[in-house]
Amino acid sequence: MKSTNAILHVMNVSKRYLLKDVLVDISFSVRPYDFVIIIGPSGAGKTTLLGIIAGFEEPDEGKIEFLGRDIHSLSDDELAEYRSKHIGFIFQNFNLIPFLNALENVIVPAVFSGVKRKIAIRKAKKLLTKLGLSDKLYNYPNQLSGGEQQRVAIARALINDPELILADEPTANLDRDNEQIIMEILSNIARSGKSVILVTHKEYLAKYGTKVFELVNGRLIRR
Amino acid sequence: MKAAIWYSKKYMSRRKRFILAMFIVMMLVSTFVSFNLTFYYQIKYRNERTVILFSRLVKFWLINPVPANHMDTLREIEGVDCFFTFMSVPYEIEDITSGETISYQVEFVNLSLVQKLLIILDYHEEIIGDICIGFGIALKLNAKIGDVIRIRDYDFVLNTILPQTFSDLDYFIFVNINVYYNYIAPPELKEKVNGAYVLLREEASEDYVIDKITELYDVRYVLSPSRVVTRMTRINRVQLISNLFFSIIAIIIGMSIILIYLFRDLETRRRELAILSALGVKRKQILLVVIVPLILVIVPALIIGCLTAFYIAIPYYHEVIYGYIRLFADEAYVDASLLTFTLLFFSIFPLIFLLDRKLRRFSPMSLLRAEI
Repeated sequence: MKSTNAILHVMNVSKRYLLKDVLVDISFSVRPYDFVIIIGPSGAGKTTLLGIIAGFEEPDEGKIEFLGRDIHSLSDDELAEYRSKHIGFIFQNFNLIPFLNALENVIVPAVFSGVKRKIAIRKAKKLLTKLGLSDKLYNYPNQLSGGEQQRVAIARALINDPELILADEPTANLDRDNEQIIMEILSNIARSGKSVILVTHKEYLAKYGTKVFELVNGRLIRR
Repeated sequence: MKAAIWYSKKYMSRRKRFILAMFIVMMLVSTFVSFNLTFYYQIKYRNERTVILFSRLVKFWLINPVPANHMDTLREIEGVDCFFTFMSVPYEIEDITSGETISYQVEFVNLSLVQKLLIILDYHEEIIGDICIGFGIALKLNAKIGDVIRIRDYDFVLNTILPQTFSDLDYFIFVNINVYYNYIAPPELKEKVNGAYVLLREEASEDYVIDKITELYDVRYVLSPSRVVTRMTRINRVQLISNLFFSIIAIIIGMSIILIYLFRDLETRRRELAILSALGVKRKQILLVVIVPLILVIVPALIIGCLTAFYIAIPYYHEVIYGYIRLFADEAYVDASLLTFTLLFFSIFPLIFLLDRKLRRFSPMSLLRAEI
């Protein structure tokens, strides 16, 4: 059943790889302020689910509705626009572009979606300052620690002011201190009115979520 | 587009060796193609000018020399405006001043013919002295005004070098026929001629005049306006085919090297391009990101390649092969650059097509799965 003010509906999504059911009849909704945490061991299908929500992959069955539109019925360009304007993606390995400094990395989604560079830079500086990186604006990824790189990646995910943040094991490569920092930042993002979906294999991160699911044998179980 | 240029510049600043390699390949291709095509256009332009030169001119050679007064009957042919008999003989010509020597056909003729030929090509230079040489011959002899030119033991002071007409006239040596009769001709050739230039009236029938000439004289060969056009058209066609063939081969080789560079570069950029796709950058924009460095390289490489061909390769090719620096008509350079630009511009499209196909295989999902 659809909840009325949800921005994202995952409806009966199933995905099969070769003979294995990776996702089986997954359904859930995400509303603003939701911090959805999906916990599951490696190979449980967490990344596949995130990829389907981001439109990187198509489900074998079911559909994903974002703001009332089935994202898998979108054209390539519309899908790119959906990723650019409505979702922000945070990766496990940060995936910053090595030849761009922190500030330039953050503005990439904005400049490619048509925002003027000056405006994007101004916004990126604000975001990076808010994330405690005001002194690292011009550092290249190889001059930043893991935690700092992930904060730059978070700023990049936020630059186009998306409604939904997708985070794929964002703390997997971080120490405990940095993990806590990143989780606090993501909680704050959710509290500011955005929706966050985070997938992880770390059980103890469940405490940060407003909705927590477990992915077991391809099925999603609400905790 | 602006975003792609900004991004590509950032990328290029970190990949200088790759960019330099692409630049060098493109520059070499551009140099070769423009060098090759400039020769074609120079020949084409020269042929066009020669067609103009022969627009009202019939030149014929006799099987055997005849006394000059035998040609007077030419005056009676309808359509003949005026005529100039000549004696054409091969000689060793030496520029005593520069020390250069060439073996060449010398045309002994009344030099007012040269004046008339220049007027046809819209030049109004005055002919001074008993010898005048075409611009191309002056280059070959390294001759300057005031040089002493020796033809069969007779020394002339060179007072006239014809302006560069870019026609066959640039490769003529004209000497006053009276000098020939008085000083150079062997006794059996005194007062004899072996051909004539005939200038036709505007309304004249070329065929009629040629028929009459062949009736009156034992003609070895006749060059007429229509024969010049046919001959030049054939030369142009053969020249175009051969020059285009080699240019296209060079472009194919150059573009294949560039394609290999770009494909190798793409392999190293899989992760980066997948990140862009995951961040919502459209495929067209990603394609632009890959192509912009090529375009930013191709434009200066083309310009520098053309300039290298025009100012270094072509002049010094002549210097090395023939021993003199030669410059072509401006029209040849302009047309060659335009065709070089067009050929190279259109050769980018197959590259774009192949790159686009390759990019379709880059998926952000592989990035999530850490496959790349």
